[in-house]
Amino acid sequence: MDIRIRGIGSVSSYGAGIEALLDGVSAALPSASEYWAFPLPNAAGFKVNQFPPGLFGPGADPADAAFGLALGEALEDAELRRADIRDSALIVGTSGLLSEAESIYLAEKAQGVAEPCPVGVRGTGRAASRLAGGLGIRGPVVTITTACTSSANAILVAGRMIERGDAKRAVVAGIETLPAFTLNGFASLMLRSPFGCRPFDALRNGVQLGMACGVVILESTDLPSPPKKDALAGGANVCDTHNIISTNLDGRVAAAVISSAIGRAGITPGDIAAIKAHGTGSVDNDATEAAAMKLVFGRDDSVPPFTGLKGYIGHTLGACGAIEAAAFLGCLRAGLIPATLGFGKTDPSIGIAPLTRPIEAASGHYMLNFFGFGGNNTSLIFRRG
Amino acid sequence: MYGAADATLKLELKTLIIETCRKKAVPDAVPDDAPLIGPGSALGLDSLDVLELSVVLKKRYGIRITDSKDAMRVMGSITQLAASIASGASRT
Amino acid sequence: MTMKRRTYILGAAAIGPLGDTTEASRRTLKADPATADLSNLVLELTGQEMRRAGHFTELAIAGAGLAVRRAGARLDPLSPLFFATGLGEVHNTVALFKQVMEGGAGSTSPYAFVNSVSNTAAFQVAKSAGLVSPNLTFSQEEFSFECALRFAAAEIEDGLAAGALVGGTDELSHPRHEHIKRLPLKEGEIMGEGCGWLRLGSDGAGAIGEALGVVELQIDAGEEWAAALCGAIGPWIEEGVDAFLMPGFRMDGAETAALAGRLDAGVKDYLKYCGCFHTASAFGLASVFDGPRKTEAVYVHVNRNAEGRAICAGIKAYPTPLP
Repeated sequence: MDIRIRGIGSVSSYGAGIEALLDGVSAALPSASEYWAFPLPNAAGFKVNQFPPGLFGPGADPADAAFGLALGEALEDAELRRADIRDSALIVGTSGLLSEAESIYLAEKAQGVAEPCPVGVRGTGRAASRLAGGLGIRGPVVTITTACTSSANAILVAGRMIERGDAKRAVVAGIETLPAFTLNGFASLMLRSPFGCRPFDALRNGVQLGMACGVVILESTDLPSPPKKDALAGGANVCDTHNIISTNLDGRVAAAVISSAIGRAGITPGDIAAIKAHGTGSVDNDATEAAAMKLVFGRDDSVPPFTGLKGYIGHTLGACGAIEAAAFLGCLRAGLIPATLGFGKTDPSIGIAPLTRPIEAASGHYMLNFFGFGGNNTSLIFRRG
Repeated sequence: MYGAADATLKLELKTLIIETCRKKAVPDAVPDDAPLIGPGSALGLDSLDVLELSVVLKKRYGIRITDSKDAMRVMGSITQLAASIASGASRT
Repeated sequence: MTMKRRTYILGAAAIGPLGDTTEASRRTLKADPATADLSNLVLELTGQEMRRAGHFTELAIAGAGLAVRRAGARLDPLSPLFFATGLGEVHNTVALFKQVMEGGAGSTSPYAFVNSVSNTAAFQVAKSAGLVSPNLTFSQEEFSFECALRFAAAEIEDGLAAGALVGGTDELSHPRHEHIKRLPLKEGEIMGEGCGWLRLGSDGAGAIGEALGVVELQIDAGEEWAAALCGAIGPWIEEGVDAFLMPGFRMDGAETAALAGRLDAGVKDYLKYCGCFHTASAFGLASVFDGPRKTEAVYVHVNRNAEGRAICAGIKAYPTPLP
């Protein structure tokens, strides 16, 4: 696979823009706060990485507004105009966008509607249809909804569409607005940590959730473009049916998806310069991920340098594929692979540690791993020239 | 007296677990001291069952379980669970 | 340009509000139906009771299980699974949503939350079919199944998979006045639910048909609309092979008649058997195979959405072998 990465855009808990995100990353600045979007009885003490208040106009739908900002940045970065994406595909990855349904419900309640309608929205795909309609996009419109791997899979699907000529260019958007519904769900699974995200750390005990919108514009190398250094070189997805809410600690299926992505990129494990791990800070995810890396790369000391981004921006669920891809590419452009915010002490049962200080990024192949609910595992390979 | 109350609580717990987890088992046939979790155990419960039971047990008995490892330990066996409830366990 | 492989249909299953349909057992729905009890069918297919799964997941598992069984040939565990749904497990999600919004958040049921996660049904189908393979859930309102079918056929055409399982599933939710906020329906349209599954493969041995393709067009209404659609799906229609148009629930009668006229195709109304739901096209296309077929025929499902976009999915059904 050789798909040009034409542009990137981001809205995260650091606000709008890749620059703001990189500033936060280089300052190792935590960006979580108490959840402000909806009063939750059991939210006290749990922080989330949320859009800064006032980022969007009053009454704006956070999904649409965040997409608008991230797309604007990605187009500018790509040196494209809106008219240039008319014939593109729009591929959205999201875990479900129930926050829109929550707003409708609360508005009906405020108006005194006797029985406000729960889930009064037209399905997860509605946002993509609406956004495509607003942009006048005439290419294929698809929403991928596979929980935490949604927008990583959206990148993979976009790559395949361009590879086979179904579209010349694709706008991929990962959108997560973190509804109260989801926050409560994670609380019920005892997966949220009151201490924040500590990827691969000996004391890790859960995830810190986040909102984000990441946009990645991908295109065929047949299209004319100003010089661009980054490409999607391969990727793979495999569902592990071991356990719906947890991972198979032996790491075999996770290793299979990593190996399969390496194969699709036409390289060998030794070609991987560094890894952006999924690193949620949950006990099982990080153990499984470490086991998988050890299986693929052979020995502990052959595992390439790896880092995690969720200490900075939280686990943004359906958006994490696109936002972490955009953030990681931003870091590579700035010449560095960032340290793992939240990591302090090596877990002896894991035996390997993520980066504790930034290292220089050179040209080469980079791996981005995403492991999700429902056993959904995705690995992407980017090439930086 | 304590013994009779203990037996009543244990039977109540067995029924509650079977109903909550929609297991096909007779409450009386569930042993007091055998493990409940994992393949081959008395009820073959898994981690998701343990989470569901944590919510139900909190509602019914007010016992607070906030950590999944703690939940696994509290639900080690019927005897263990009954003891946790009797002592008003609220380890957080 | 590499030679594209054909995408054969090896097995199919359609389940509607009345359960597993055959041509003989179909009934026209007169009013909004109740949900069908599928627990016995799921038990028979998987050998397991679905202790925690809701009706939505049962629908998906039952349809996929039947399509695999009917294909006969063993399903390679590496075969990808492409699942489509418009609303997902909506019935259970509605109950949990109310609980969260009304402040009972501390007692969110982990079972219910897990069932509401978007890819839970696809996970359960993969598990019941013994798959360890790529697994994607597509959700694009009334185009959901077509999106999944397009992607599944692409994997086979390009030689990335030898077989695949593709299906669409949606379930009813009640009451009607709430349901139509989730799925706007016109006066007189019946709420529906069901699924349709196709077991696809690159090897034509034992095939019952072929997937011809999916085309999506952004076109304006009127005469131009029908002309552009005919241009796109024309290549699927062969001289001497019967052609049928299957209108989706967003099509109006005049549009359908104009299009059928241009294509010289008959019209098959399947919606009267399953009612309206986002992935009804999956039911429609899969139901083509649930009765005896004397001759080869092409079926083209056509639907449109609120943004003025149209999508067509074409399949060819082979005649059933003589006994």
